[in-house]
Amino acid sequence: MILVLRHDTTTAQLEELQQKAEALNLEFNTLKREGRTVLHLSSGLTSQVCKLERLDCVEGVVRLTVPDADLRPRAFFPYHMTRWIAGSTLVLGLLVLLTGLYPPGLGGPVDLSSSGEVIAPWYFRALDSVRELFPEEQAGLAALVVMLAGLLLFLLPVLDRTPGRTPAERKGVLAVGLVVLLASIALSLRGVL
Amino acid sequence: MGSTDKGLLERLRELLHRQVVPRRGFSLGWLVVILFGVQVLTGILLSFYYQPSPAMAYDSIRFIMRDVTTGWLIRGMHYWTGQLLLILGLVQVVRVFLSGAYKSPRQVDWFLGFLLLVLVLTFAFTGNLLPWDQTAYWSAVQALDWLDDTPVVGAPLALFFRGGDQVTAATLSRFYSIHILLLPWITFYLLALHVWMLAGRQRSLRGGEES
Repeated sequence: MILVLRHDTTTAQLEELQQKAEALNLEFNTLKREGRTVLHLSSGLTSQVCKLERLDCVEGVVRLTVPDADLRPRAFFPYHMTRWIAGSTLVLGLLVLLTGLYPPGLGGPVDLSSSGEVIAPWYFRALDSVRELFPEEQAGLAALVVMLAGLLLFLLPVLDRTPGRTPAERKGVLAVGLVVLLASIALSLRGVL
Repeated sequence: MGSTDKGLLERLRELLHRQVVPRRGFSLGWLVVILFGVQVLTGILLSFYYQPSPAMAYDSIRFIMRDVTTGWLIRGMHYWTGQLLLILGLVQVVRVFLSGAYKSPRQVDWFLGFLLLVLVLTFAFTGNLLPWDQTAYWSAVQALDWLDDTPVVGAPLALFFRGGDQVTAATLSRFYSIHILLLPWITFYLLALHVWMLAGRQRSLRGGEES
Protein backbone atom coordinates (compact mmCIF):
# COMPACT_ATOMS: atom_id res chain seq x y z
CA MET A 1 0.00 0.00 0.00
CA ILE A 2 1.04 3.59 -0.56
CA LEU A 3 0.24 6.41 1.83
CA VAL A 4 0.09 9.73 0.00
CA LEU A 5 0.85 12.72 2.22
CA ARG A 6 -0.50 16.22 1.86
CA HIS A 7 1.57 18.87 0.12
CA ASP A 8 1.89 20.88 3.33
CA THR A 9 3.12 18.00 5.51
CA THR A 10 5.80 19.21 7.91
CA THR A 11 8.96 17.32 8.83
CA ALA A 12 7.58 16.82 12.34
CA GLN A 13 4.40 15.26 10.96
CA LEU A 14 6.41 12.99 8.66
CA GLU A 15 8.58 11.85 11.58
CA GLU A 16 5.50 11.19 13.69
CA LEU A 17 4.05 9.08 10.89
CA GLN A 18 7.29 7.14 10.45
CA GLN A 19 7.50 6.51 14.21
CA LYS A 20 3.94 5.19 14.26
CA ALA A 21 4.66 2.96 11.27
CA GLU A 22 7.75 1.60 13.04
CA ALA A 23 5.74 1.07 16.22
CA LEU A 24 3.31 -1.04 14.20
CA ASN A 25 6.26 -3.08 12.82
CA LEU A 26 5.49 -1.99 9.28
CA GLU A 27 8.20 -2.11 6.62
CA PHE A 28 8.22 1.04 4.54
CA ASN A 29 10.17 3.29 2.19
CA THR A 30 9.77 7.04 2.05
CA LEU A 31 9.54 8.21 -1.55
CA LYS A 32 9.10 11.56 -3.27
CA ARG A 33 7.14 12.31 -6.41
CA GLU A 34 6.51 15.76 -7.90
CA GLY A 35 7.30 17.41 -4.59
CA ARG A 36 4.95 15.13 -2.71
CA THR A 37 6.02 12.61 -0.11
CA VAL A 38 4.61 9.09 -0.12
CA LEU A 39 5.19 6.08 2.13
CA HIS A 40 5.39 2.74 0.33
CA LEU A 41 4.39 0.05 2.81
CA SER A 42 5.69 -3.37 1.83
CA SER A 43 4.07 -5.20 4.75
CA GLY A 44 1.21 -4.74 7.16
CA LEU A 45 -2.50 -5.39 7.62
CA THR A 46 -5.26 -3.12 6.39
CA SER A 47 -6.34 -2.46 9.98
CA GLN A 48 -2.82 -1.25 10.82
CA VAL A 49 -2.70 1.02 7.79
CA CYS A 50 -6.11 2.44 8.73
CA LYS A 51 -4.55 3.70 11.98
CA LEU A 52 -2.04 5.71 9.96
CA GLU A 53 -4.68 6.87 7.50
CA ARG A 54 -6.42 8.81 10.27
CA LEU A 55 -3.47 11.15 10.71
CA ASP A 56 -4.02 14.68 9.38
CA CYS A 57 -1.01 14.60 7.10
CA VAL A 58 -2.30 11.57 5.14
CA GLU A 59 -4.30 12.56 2.08
CA GLY A 60 -5.13 9.09 0.81
CA VAL A 61 -4.16 5.45 0.50
CA VAL A 62 -3.47 3.53 -2.71
CA ARG A 63 -4.05 -0.17 -2.18
CA LEU A 64 -1.80 -2.36 -4.31
CA THR A 65 -3.86 -5.52 -4.17
CA VAL A 66 -2.99 -6.75 -7.66
CA PRO A 67 0.30 -8.22 -8.91
CA ASP A 68 2.82 -5.65 -10.09
CA ALA A 69 2.66 -6.93 -13.69
CA ASP A 70 -1.01 -5.94 -13.89
CA LEU A 71 -0.27 -2.47 -12.58
CA ARG A 72 2.33 -1.77 -15.26
CA PRO A 73 1.21 1.22 -17.34
CA ARG A 74 0.14 0.39 -20.88
CA ALA A 75 -0.38 2.55 -23.97
CA PHE A 76 -3.90 3.90 -24.37
CA PHE A 77 -3.88 2.57 -27.95
CA PRO A 78 -4.54 -0.26 -28.46
CA TYR A 79 -4.86 -1.71 -24.94
CA HIS A 80 -7.25 0.71 -23.23
CA MET A 81 -9.05 1.69 -26.43
CA THR A 82 -9.89 -1.97 -27.11
CA ARG A 83 -11.36 -2.26 -23.64
CA TRP A 84 -13.39 0.92 -24.20
CA ILE A 85 -14.73 -0.30 -27.55
CA ALA A 86 -15.59 -3.74 -26.13
CA GLY A 87 -17.33 -2.15 -23.13
CA SER A 88 -19.26 0.30 -25.32
CA THR A 89 -20.39 -2.49 -27.63
CA LEU A 90 -21.67 -4.47 -24.65
CA VAL A 91 -23.57 -1.44 -23.34
CA LEU A 92 -25.12 -0.74 -26.75
CA GLY A 93 -26.09 -4.42 -27.03
CA LEU A 94 -27.75 -4.25 -23.63
CA LEU A 95 -29.69 -1.12 -24.65
CA VAL A 96 -30.91 -2.77 -27.87
CA LEU A 97 -31.89 -5.88 -25.91
CA LEU A 98 -33.81 -3.87 -23.32
CA THR A 99 -35.58 -1.89 -26.06
CA GLY A 100 -36.51 -5.10 -27.87
CA LEU A 101 -37.81 -6.81 -24.75
CA TYR A 102 -39.39 -3.81 -23.00
CA PRO A 103 -40.07 -1.01 -25.47
CA PRO A 104 -41.28 2.24 -23.90
CA GLY A 105 -44.98 2.60 -24.49
CA LEU A 106 -47.12 5.53 -25.48
CA GLY A 107 -50.40 6.05 -23.62
CA GLY A 108 -53.56 7.57 -24.96
CA PRO A 109 -53.86 11.25 -25.95
CA VAL A 110 -54.30 13.79 -23.16
CA ASP A 111 -57.79 13.91 -21.68
CA LEU A 112 -58.04 17.19 -19.79
CA SER A 113 -61.35 16.21 -18.19
CA SER A 114 -60.00 13.22 -16.27
CA SER A 115 -56.64 12.48 -14.70
CA GLY A 116 -57.40 8.80 -14.06
CA GLU A 117 -55.01 7.07 -11.67
CA VAL A 118 -51.62 8.77 -11.81
CA ILE A 119 -48.69 6.64 -10.73
CA ALA A 120 -45.43 8.53 -10.33
CA PRO A 121 -42.35 7.21 -12.18
CA TRP A 122 -40.32 4.77 -10.06
CA TYR A 123 -37.66 7.36 -9.23
CA PHE A 124 -40.25 9.73 -7.72
CA ARG A 125 -42.40 7.07 -6.07
CA ALA A 126 -40.72 7.38 -2.67
CA LEU A 127 -41.34 11.15 -2.68
CA ASP A 128 -44.94 10.54 -3.72
CA SER A 129 -45.39 8.11 -0.82
CA VAL A 130 -43.94 10.62 1.66
CA ARG A 131 -46.50 13.13 0.45
CA GLU A 132 -49.32 10.61 0.96
CA LEU A 133 -48.17 9.99 4.54
CA PHE A 134 -49.07 13.59 5.40
CA PRO A 135 -52.60 15.05 5.37
CA GLU A 136 -53.47 17.23 2.38
CA GLU A 137 -53.23 20.46 4.41
CA GLN A 138 -49.69 19.55 5.49
CA ALA A 139 -48.34 18.98 1.96
CA GLY A 140 -45.85 21.81 2.53
CA LEU A 141 -44.47 20.00 5.55
CA ALA A 142 -43.98 16.80 3.51
CA ALA A 143 -42.13 18.77 0.85
CA LEU A 144 -40.02 20.43 3.53
CA VAL A 145 -39.06 17.03 5.01
CA VAL A 146 -37.94 15.76 1.60
CA MET A 147 -36.07 18.99 0.86
CA LEU A 148 -34.25 18.87 4.19
CA ALA A 149 -33.35 15.20 3.71
CA GLY A 150 -31.87 16.04 0.30
CA LEU A 151 -29.94 18.98 1.75
CA LEU A 152 -28.55 16.86 4.59
CA LEU A 153 -27.44 14.21 2.11
CA PHE A 154 -25.76 16.84 -0.04
CA LEU A 155 -23.91 18.27 2.96
CA LEU A 156 -22.86 14.83 4.22
CA PRO A 157 -19.09 15.44 3.89
CA VAL A 158 -19.46 18.58 6.02
CA LEU A 159 -21.79 17.04 8.61
CA ASP A 160 -20.02 13.70 9.07
CA ARG A 161 -17.25 14.41 11.59
CA THR A 162 -16.33 10.77 12.30
CA PRO A 163 -12.56 10.18 12.18
CA GLY A 164 -12.18 7.42 9.59
CA ARG A 165 -13.79 5.63 6.68
CA THR A 166 -14.13 2.11 8.05
CA PRO A 167 -17.65 0.95 9.01
CA ALA A 168 -16.54 0.53 12.62
CA GLU A 169 -15.65 4.21 12.80
CA ARG A 170 -18.91 5.38 11.18
CA LYS A 171 -21.47 3.21 12.94
CA GLY A 172 -23.91 6.06 13.66
CA VAL A 173 -23.76 7.59 10.17
CA LEU A 174 -24.05 4.19 8.51
CA ALA A 175 -27.03 3.23 10.70
CA VAL A 176 -28.92 6.44 9.81
CA GLY A 177 -28.01 6.04 6.13
CA LEU A 178 -29.17 2.43 5.98
CA VAL A 179 -32.46 3.31 7.69
CA VAL A 180 -33.05 6.09 5.12
CA LEU A 181 -32.10 3.73 2.27
CA LEU A 182 -34.43 0.95 3.45
CA ALA A 183 -37.22 3.48 4.08
CA SER A 184 -36.78 4.85 0.55
CA ILE A 185 -37.02 1.35 -0.94
CA ALA A 186 -40.09 0.54 1.19
CA LEU A 187 -41.77 3.83 0.25
CA SER A 188 -41.02 3.22 -3.44
CA LEU A 189 -42.63 -0.21 -3.25
CA ARG A 190 -45.56 1.08 -1.22
CA GLY A 191 -47.33 2.56 -4.22
CA VAL A 192 -46.83 -0.56 -6.31
CA LEU A 193 -47.40 -3.52 -4.00
CA MET B 1 -0.11 25.29 -41.92
CA GLY B 2 2.16 22.31 -42.32
CA SER B 3 3.73 22.80 -38.92
CA THR B 4 0.28 23.18 -37.31
CA ASP B 5 -0.88 19.93 -38.91
CA LYS B 6 2.25 18.19 -37.73
CA GLY B 7 1.66 19.58 -34.23
CA LEU B 8 -1.89 18.29 -34.15
CA LEU B 9 -0.89 14.88 -35.45
CA GLU B 10 1.92 14.74 -32.96
CA ARG B 11 -0.45 15.62 -30.14
CA LEU B 12 -2.93 12.98 -31.29
CA ARG B 13 -0.15 10.41 -31.41
CA GLU B 14 0.93 11.35 -27.89
CA LEU B 15 -2.65 11.08 -26.70
CA LEU B 16 -3.09 7.63 -28.21
CA HIS B 17 0.24 6.31 -26.99
CA ARG B 18 0.23 7.85 -23.53
CA GLN B 19 0.83 5.35 -20.76
CA VAL B 20 -2.18 4.64 -18.57
CA VAL B 21 -2.20 2.39 -15.52
CA PRO B 22 -4.85 -0.31 -15.93
CA ARG B 23 -7.40 -0.55 -13.16
CA ARG B 24 -8.98 -3.61 -11.68
CA GLY B 25 -12.64 -3.97 -10.85
CA PHE B 26 -15.45 -2.09 -12.51
CA SER B 27 -15.59 1.62 -12.99
CA LEU B 28 -18.92 3.36 -13.17
CA GLY B 29 -17.29 6.49 -14.57
CA TRP B 30 -16.64 5.23 -18.10
CA LEU B 31 -20.14 3.70 -18.19
CA VAL B 32 -21.69 7.07 -17.33
CA VAL B 33 -19.64 8.79 -20.06
CA ILE B 34 -20.71 6.19 -22.67
CA LEU B 35 -24.37 6.38 -21.63
CA PHE B 36 -24.29 10.17 -21.72
CA GLY B 37 -22.86 9.98 -25.26
CA VAL B 38 -25.63 7.58 -26.34
CA GLN B 39 -28.20 9.86 -24.72
CA VAL B 40 -26.94 12.90 -26.64
CA LEU B 41 -26.77 11.03 -29.95
CA THR B 42 -30.24 9.45 -29.71
CA GLY B 43 -31.63 12.75 -28.40
CA ILE B 44 -30.34 14.60 -31.47
CA LEU B 45 -31.89 11.97 -33.77
CA LEU B 46 -35.24 12.21 -31.95
CA SER B 47 -35.22 16.00 -32.16
CA PHE B 48 -35.19 15.74 -35.99
CA TYR B 49 -38.79 14.49 -35.84
CA TYR B 50 -40.20 15.59 -32.48
CA GLN B 51 -42.43 18.69 -32.47
CA PRO B 52 -42.81 20.37 -29.06
CA SER B 53 -46.39 21.63 -29.23
CA PRO B 54 -49.49 20.13 -27.60
CA ALA B 55 -51.11 19.70 -31.00
CA MET B 56 -48.15 17.85 -32.56
CA ALA B 57 -46.08 16.29 -29.78
CA TYR B 58 -48.15 13.13 -29.34
CA ASP B 59 -48.49 12.53 -33.09
CA SER B 60 -44.80 13.16 -33.70
CA ILE B 61 -43.85 10.52 -31.12
CA ARG B 62 -46.28 8.08 -32.74
CA PHE B 63 -44.75 8.94 -36.11
CA ILE B 64 -41.25 8.26 -34.75
CA MET B 65 -42.33 4.90 -33.38
CA ARG B 66 -44.34 3.74 -36.39
CA ASP B 67 -43.01 5.38 -39.53
CA VAL B 68 -39.42 6.50 -38.99
CA THR B 69 -36.89 3.78 -39.83
CA THR B 70 -35.58 2.36 -36.52
CA GLY B 71 -37.40 5.21 -34.78
CA TRP B 72 -38.74 2.80 -32.17
CA LEU B 73 -35.17 1.64 -31.50
CA ILE B 74 -33.79 5.16 -31.15
CA ARG B 75 -36.59 6.17 -28.77
CA GLY B 76 -36.21 2.93 -26.80
CA MET B 77 -32.46 3.39 -26.46
CA HIS B 78 -32.97 7.00 -25.36
CA TYR B 79 -35.50 5.88 -22.76
CA TRP B 80 -33.42 2.98 -21.41
CA THR B 81 -30.22 5.02 -21.34
CA GLY B 82 -32.01 7.53 -19.13
CA GLN B 83 -33.22 4.76 -16.84
CA LEU B 84 -29.74 3.23 -16.60
CA LEU B 85 -28.19 6.63 -15.84
CA LEU B 86 -30.66 7.08 -13.00
CA ILE B 87 -29.91 3.61 -11.62
CA LEU B 88 -26.15 4.18 -11.95
CA GLY B 89 -26.41 7.56 -10.21
CA LEU B 90 -28.31 6.08 -7.29
CA VAL B 91 -25.98 3.06 -7.04
CA GLN B 92 -22.97 5.38 -7.10
CA VAL B 93 -24.36 7.56 -4.28
CA VAL B 94 -25.03 4.45 -2.16
CA ARG B 95 -21.59 3.02 -2.98
CA VAL B 96 -19.75 6.23 -2.08
CA PHE B 97 -21.78 6.55 1.10
CA LEU B 98 -21.12 2.96 2.24
CA SER B 99 -17.40 3.14 1.48
CA GLY B 100 -16.97 6.55 3.09
CA ALA B 101 -15.41 7.88 -0.11
CA TYR B 102 -17.11 11.26 0.37
CA LYS B 103 -14.61 12.15 3.08
CA SER B 104 -11.57 14.35 2.77
CA PRO B 105 -10.03 14.93 0.25
CA ARG B 106 -12.97 13.88 -1.94
CA GLN B 107 -15.72 16.18 -0.68
CA VAL B 108 -15.85 18.07 -3.98
CA ASP B 109 -16.31 14.77 -5.86
CA TRP B 110 -19.34 14.05 -3.67
CA PHE B 111 -20.85 17.50 -4.29
CA LEU B 112 -20.32 17.19 -8.06
CA GLY B 113 -21.66 13.63 -8.13
CA PHE B 114 -24.72 14.65 -6.15
CA LEU B 115 -25.40 17.59 -8.49
CA LEU B 116 -25.06 15.25 -11.47
CA LEU B 117 -27.67 12.94 -9.92
CA VAL B 118 -30.02 15.92 -9.48
CA LEU B 119 -29.43 16.82 -13.13
CA VAL B 120 -30.22 13.26 -14.26
CA LEU B 121 -33.43 13.38 -12.22
CA THR B 122 -34.32 16.72 -13.85
CA PHE B 123 -33.61 15.16 -17.26
CA ALA B 124 -36.05 12.36 -16.41
CA PHE B 125 -38.63 14.80 -15.02
CA THR B 126 -38.57 17.08 -18.08
CA GLY B 127 -38.30 14.22 -20.58
CA ASN B 128 -41.28 12.43 -19.06
CA LEU B 129 -43.70 15.15 -20.25
CA LEU B 130 -42.47 15.30 -23.86
CA PRO B 131 -44.65 12.43 -25.26
CA TRP B 132 -47.64 14.53 -24.10
CA ASP B 133 -49.80 11.48 -23.45
CA GLN B 134 -52.31 11.04 -20.64
CA THR B 135 -49.80 9.63 -18.13
CA ALA B 136 -47.10 12.19 -18.97
CA TYR B 137 -49.47 15.12 -18.70
CA TRP B 138 -51.07 14.21 -15.38
CA SER B 139 -47.75 13.11 -13.86
CA ALA B 140 -46.36 16.55 -14.67
CA VAL B 141 -49.46 18.25 -13.21
CA GLN B 142 -49.08 16.26 -10.01
CA ALA B 143 -45.31 16.78 -9.73
CA LEU B 144 -45.58 20.53 -10.35
CA ASP B 145 -48.40 20.85 -7.80
CA TRP B 146 -46.14 19.14 -5.31
CA LEU B 147 -43.23 21.40 -6.19
CA ASP B 148 -45.59 24.34 -5.68
CA ASP B 149 -46.21 23.18 -2.10
CA THR B 150 -42.50 23.25 -1.23
CA PRO B 151 -41.81 26.21 1.07
CA VAL B 152 -39.78 29.21 -0.12
CA VAL B 153 -38.30 27.94 -3.40
CA GLY B 154 -41.23 25.76 -4.54
CA ALA B 155 -43.62 28.35 -5.97
CA PRO B 156 -41.06 30.27 -8.08
CA LEU B 157 -39.59 26.99 -9.37
CA ALA B 158 -43.04 25.62 -10.27
CA LEU B 159 -43.87 28.89 -12.05
CA PHE B 160 -40.55 28.71 -13.90
CA PHE B 161 -41.24 25.16 -15.11
CA ARG B 162 -44.95 25.69 -15.84
CA GLY B 163 -44.77 29.10 -17.43
CA GLY B 164 -48.14 30.00 -15.89
CA ASP B 165 -50.79 28.60 -13.58
CA GLN B 166 -51.44 25.43 -15.55
CA VAL B 167 -49.60 22.87 -17.62
CA THR B 168 -49.98 24.20 -21.16
CA ALA B 169 -48.06 24.68 -24.41
CA ALA B 170 -45.73 27.04 -22.53
CA THR B 171 -44.87 24.22 -20.11
CA LEU B 172 -44.12 21.78 -22.91
CA SER B 173 -41.96 24.34 -24.66
CA ARG B 174 -40.02 25.08 -21.47
CA PHE B 175 -39.56 21.42 -20.61
CA TYR B 176 -38.27 20.78 -24.11
CA SER B 177 -35.82 23.70 -24.03
CA ILE B 178 -34.54 22.72 -20.59
CA HIS B 179 -34.28 19.07 -21.66
CA ILE B 180 -32.33 19.59 -24.89
CA LEU B 181 -30.49 22.88 -24.38
CA LEU B 182 -29.89 23.72 -20.75
CA LEU B 183 -29.37 20.37 -19.03
CA PRO B 184 -27.04 18.70 -21.58
CA TRP B 185 -24.54 21.55 -21.45
CA ILE B 186 -24.56 21.83 -17.67
CA THR B 187 -24.21 18.05 -17.41
CA PHE B 188 -21.40 18.03 -19.96
CA TYR B 189 -19.33 20.60 -18.08
CA LEU B 190 -20.00 19.07 -14.66
CA LEU B 191 -19.19 15.57 -15.95
CA ALA B 192 -15.98 16.83 -17.57
CA LEU B 193 -14.97 18.57 -14.34
CA HIS B 194 -15.82 15.44 -12.31
CA VAL B 195 -13.79 13.14 -14.61
CA TRP B 196 -10.90 15.63 -14.78
CA MET B 197 -10.70 15.86 -10.99
CA LEU B 198 -10.83 12.09 -10.53
CA ALA B 199 -8.22 11.52 -13.25
CA GLY B 200 -5.99 14.20 -11.75
CA ARG B 201 -6.16 12.56 -8.33
CA GLN B 202 -5.34 9.14 -9.77
CA ARG B 203 -2.35 10.62 -11.60
CA SER B 204 -1.04 12.26 -8.45
CA LEU B 205 -1.48 9.10 -6.39
CA ARG B 206 0.42 6.79 -8.73
CA GLY B 207 4.15 6.37 -9.13
CA GLY B 208 7.05 7.52 -6.96
CA GLU B 209 10.80 7.78 -6.75
CA GLU B 210 13.27 7.30 -3.99
CA SER B 211 13.89 10.41 -1.89
